[in-house]
Amino acid sequence: MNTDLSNRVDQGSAQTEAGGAATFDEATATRLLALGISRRRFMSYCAGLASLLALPQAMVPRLAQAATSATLPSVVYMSFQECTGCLESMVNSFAFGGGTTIDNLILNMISLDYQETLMAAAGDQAEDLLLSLTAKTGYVLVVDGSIPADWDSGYFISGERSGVARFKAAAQKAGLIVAVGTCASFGGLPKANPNPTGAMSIGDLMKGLGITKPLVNVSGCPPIPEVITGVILYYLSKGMPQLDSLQRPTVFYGETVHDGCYRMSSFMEGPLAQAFDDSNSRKGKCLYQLGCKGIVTHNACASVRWNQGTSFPMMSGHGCIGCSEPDFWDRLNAKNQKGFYVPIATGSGHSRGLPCEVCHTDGDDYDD
Amino acid sequence: MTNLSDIPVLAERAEPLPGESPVVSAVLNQVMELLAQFLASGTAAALDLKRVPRMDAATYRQLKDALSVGEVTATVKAEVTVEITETQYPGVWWLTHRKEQGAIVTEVIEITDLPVILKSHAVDMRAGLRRLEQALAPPPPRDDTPDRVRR
Repeated sequence: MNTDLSNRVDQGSAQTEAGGAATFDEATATRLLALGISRRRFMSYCAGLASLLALPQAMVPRLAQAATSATLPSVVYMSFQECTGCLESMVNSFAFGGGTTIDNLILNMISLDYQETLMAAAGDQAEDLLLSLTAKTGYVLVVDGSIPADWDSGYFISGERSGVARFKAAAQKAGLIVAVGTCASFGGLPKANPNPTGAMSIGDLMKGLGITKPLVNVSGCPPIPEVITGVILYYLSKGMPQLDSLQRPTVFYGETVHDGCYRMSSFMEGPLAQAFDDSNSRKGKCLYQLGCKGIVTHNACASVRWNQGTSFPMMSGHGCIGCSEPDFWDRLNAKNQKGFYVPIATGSGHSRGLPCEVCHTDGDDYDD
Repeated sequence: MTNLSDIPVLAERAEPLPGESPVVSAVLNQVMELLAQFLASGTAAALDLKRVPRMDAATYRQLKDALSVGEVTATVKAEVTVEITETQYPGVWWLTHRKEQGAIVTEVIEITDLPVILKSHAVDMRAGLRRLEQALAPPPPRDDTPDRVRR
């Protein structure tokens, strides 16, 4: 197995960044032919993938090259204080859907060498595998879950080692660390008040341990499946994505859920939904008054959507709970209250200069 | 300055027509610049319509109407379907990628002489040539010798 990721990025065929779709190189076309995959079908698939990843269409050949490469980067996926929801989300993504040849090909883009829930090995056999994999260099370390900061607290022990010790050892020779889910990215639910285990995000733990490896946070509870795999595909085909101030890839977290929400127009113009299932809610009006956190939540729910692009929560009449933002569980909203159904305190109608009737036709005046 | 192409040209952005979405105007102006660029340098380009901000249904319709349909249409059928239409502006192609169930995966405006997806690849052509050679090869001589003679 070749784990030198940098070699995978720039073997590219000739094409320009700003140019149109270029043709596949000889090796890629030959590999597709050998696999019995229609080159044009695969080109169409990669065009959709590039669109999803906000890459220029000129990247299509490079995506194809990454997907058909005979060398696979090793991925070590370690779980800490988590609920396995993020893994469940990932295995249901388009890339891991199975069934078609292309899906299997994408699945084969990475070599998922260690994942405790999915692999057959257990006990000493699993520990030996982890140690042998992390003795090499350049692998992608995917981390799921937060870690108790006090190494001897006893809250997380696996393989006779604390979470801190396990992570520290695994991170030493990693080429890239991907914190999957809000628990790994920001502490998430384990860190919620009163944070009994002393849970810490991977980024904060890395700072404390002096680990300076590149880190990408893929937040969400869980993250959108396509976003998890999309980040890995992006890294394999183009290198490190651009990150926001919270280390999240701007490709997926550059806009708020509100920015792409089909209910947005009534946010400024009114009327707003005042109760779940009221007439305005049914007419697709904004759920801001019902506690929707979309306006302060950066995620791709409204653009990529869930369940193979079917919908996102607002389409079911439920507001965003802000799960991809730090401390979303403990967020203080209007009237200093916590809760998913309490309107946010910032960005209120008055501060936005909206006419009173936009928000106050009915119900509580949260903005006073 | 010896060649006509050495003369710098600045394409002025046209004002949107009355009732035309500024998004449509922006896309059309970009297409115009990219087409000029292709003619000048041969550099093909593609605009991913999913990445165009504020492309609501009405704006999409306006854009499609503005580009209209030209002389060439082609369809790639390879489990997925790709509909390729040259717009009324030669060299400006509208590509619609659909998944197996027919839903649109993405739509792209390509500025090029011929979209790459339509071109045959040398690897595929060589494989096709081998298949054709096999199909045309004279059949191997039939062994009509009766069993009893061979014995």
